[in-house]
Amino acid sequence: MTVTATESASASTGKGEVLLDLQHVSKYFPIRAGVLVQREVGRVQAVTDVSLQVRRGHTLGLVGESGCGKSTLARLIAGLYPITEGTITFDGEDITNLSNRRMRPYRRRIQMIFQDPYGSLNPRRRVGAIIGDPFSIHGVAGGDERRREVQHLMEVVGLNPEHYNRFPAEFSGGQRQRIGVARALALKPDLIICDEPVSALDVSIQAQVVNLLEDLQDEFGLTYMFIAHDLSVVRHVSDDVAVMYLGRIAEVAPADQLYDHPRHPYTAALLSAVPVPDPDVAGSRERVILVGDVPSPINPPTGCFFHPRCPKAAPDCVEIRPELATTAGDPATHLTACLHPVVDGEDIAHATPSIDQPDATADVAEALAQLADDASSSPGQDVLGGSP
Amino acid sequence: MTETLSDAGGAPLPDTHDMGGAPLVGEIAGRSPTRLALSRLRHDRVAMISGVVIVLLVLLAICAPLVAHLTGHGDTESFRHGSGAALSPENIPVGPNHNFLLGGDDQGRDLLVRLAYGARVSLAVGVLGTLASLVIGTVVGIIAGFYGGWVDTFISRIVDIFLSYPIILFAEALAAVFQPSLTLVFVVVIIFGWTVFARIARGQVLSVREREFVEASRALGARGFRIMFIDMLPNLVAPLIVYYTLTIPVNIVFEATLSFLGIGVKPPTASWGQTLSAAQVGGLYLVRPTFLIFPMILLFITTLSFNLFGDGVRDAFDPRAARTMAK
Repeated sequence: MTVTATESASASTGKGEVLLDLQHVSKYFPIRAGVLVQREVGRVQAVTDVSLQVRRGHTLGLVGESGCGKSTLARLIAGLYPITEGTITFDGEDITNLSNRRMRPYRRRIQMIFQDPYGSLNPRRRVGAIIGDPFSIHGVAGGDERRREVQHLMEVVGLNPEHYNRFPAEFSGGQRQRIGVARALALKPDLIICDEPVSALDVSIQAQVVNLLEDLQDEFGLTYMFIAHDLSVVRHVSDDVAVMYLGRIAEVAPADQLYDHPRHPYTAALLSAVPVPDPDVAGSRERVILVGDVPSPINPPTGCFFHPRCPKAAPDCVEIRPELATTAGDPATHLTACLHPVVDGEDIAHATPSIDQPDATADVAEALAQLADDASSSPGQDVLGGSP
Repeated sequence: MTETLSDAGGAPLPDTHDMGGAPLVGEIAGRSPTRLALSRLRHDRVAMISGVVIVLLVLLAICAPLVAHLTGHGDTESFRHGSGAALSPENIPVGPNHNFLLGGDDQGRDLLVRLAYGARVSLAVGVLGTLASLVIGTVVGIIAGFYGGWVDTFISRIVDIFLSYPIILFAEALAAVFQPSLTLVFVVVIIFGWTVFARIARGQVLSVREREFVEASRALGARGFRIMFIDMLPNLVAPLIVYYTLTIPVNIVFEATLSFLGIGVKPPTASWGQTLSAAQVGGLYLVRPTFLIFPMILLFITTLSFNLFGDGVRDAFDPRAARTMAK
């Protein structure tokens, strides 16, 4: 799949191999307070210093837990939010924070498939109109021609063209996601950003949609940025995989390299959480259990963002922020942002950090003790504050 | 997982499970949410009866010249003297008789003909005046909600100012400066009517704005106008239609009120409010109660049927909302 796609894509355009290039992209959402004069009191660092390349005709998988900034990054590339710092280069041209008017030609070439097959289709409009939107917005095809194009697209994604006049509510989740795919395909884009396209679907339907996306990639030479939190799906579809944590890239590598030789402790922990179909292997395996919650992106930890939860955390992790770099013995395409990368064969399930980490259970115990104190000091009051 | 993925090859072929197994019988026309609501409305007996009454009232208004023709009494024609007069020698309107089916009015005109013509004014103000406020309010509200920021603040404050005005007083002032006329009634109805529609539209836009399909449209390169009026507007239709039907009776009563106070339509143009006003001058209604009762009944039936119909529309468009009486 990869080979044919690469060949057809590079043969047709002949431009550089990198289609999308992100350099030090950051996005901060300001938190404002104040009644009349709004003052910035803090910022949510949704995406911090992300540098990534997406190769033409290839798929870059982007994984990470909820709230790590994956979807924000997708929206930055799609030009839905302005970025705070950094540059986005698409097909050799700088598209960083272009005005709406100048962004329009690129919107045709960068399309997006959304996570929620229910929310991303206008419930009050007919499917034919929804898929025809790209044509009417960009004034490409009109009237009968548009109708033919739309029905052709519906066929391509495996929908019945007869259902042209139906409303989204009359389709199942998988079918709706196909509608979203058809809409993204309409203008024959170069890059499709798939923002968790299968997370909301049943497993059996996931497979269909993933296979559809792969077939379309072969057929049209598409480049994908595939965002998901399901590591098996990502491995299946991706050529390269980037792991995101708290708005930063923790590790990026070719898919097999990353899955076979995870270097970042976070990647290793994620991989150990993937269910294994073979019960023998599953039984003998030890999972890396991370303690605590993801820290707040408003006030991220110093040094390495991952140090409060890292089983290998050392004192220097608190001080020094690691940059993406190649670990000794890895190919140049395998970059890890870690001061103490995992070595092949190392079992970090039993590693213990050499620094003090906030312990979730201790926090709870402390809070309970506090409650008990309050209760004894003011007996007349209901401590839990629960007037029914 | 990986196995499952590779097994289910041939994705472009629609899977029967995914397609919901819907059999294909000819051209399948999708049923829009609006059409579904209308079919629910058709099964609402109260709403349908009110609808029929409304249609009859509209027919009465349209056919007012026919009524005049059939009775042989013009709408501004006075019958003061002789045996077939609508006024007694003491200038008291006659009661219903074979010549004047609903009796006469204070000027010796045929009350039936007057009320038929009055229905024209009432319905015009109620239906068309409200429609104009609906359109203006919707556009302004969508703009406020979509752009937000200072645009929203500016528009919302204007709405607040309009809503805090004493309407009748304002109408009196206008009537004092300009002459009382039907146009003036329309102006007042529209100036004060659009604000509430703007508020409703703005509120709906604020909730729709964050939906993913709006984001999808922006990602496709849609401009503001397109997002506002093609993507968002269809999602505002239901609450606006409901409020529209419920505002019609309010404005009918409002027109009657203005005409009753003498700042509405100018005589000799017929209006229900004016007839009601004439009936209470000098306590005429004490001598001839039907002069007051007939226009009252007509006004009552009109507002009641519009209210009940509006209630039905609301239930049809939002089946989950609890059924309550309109204001």
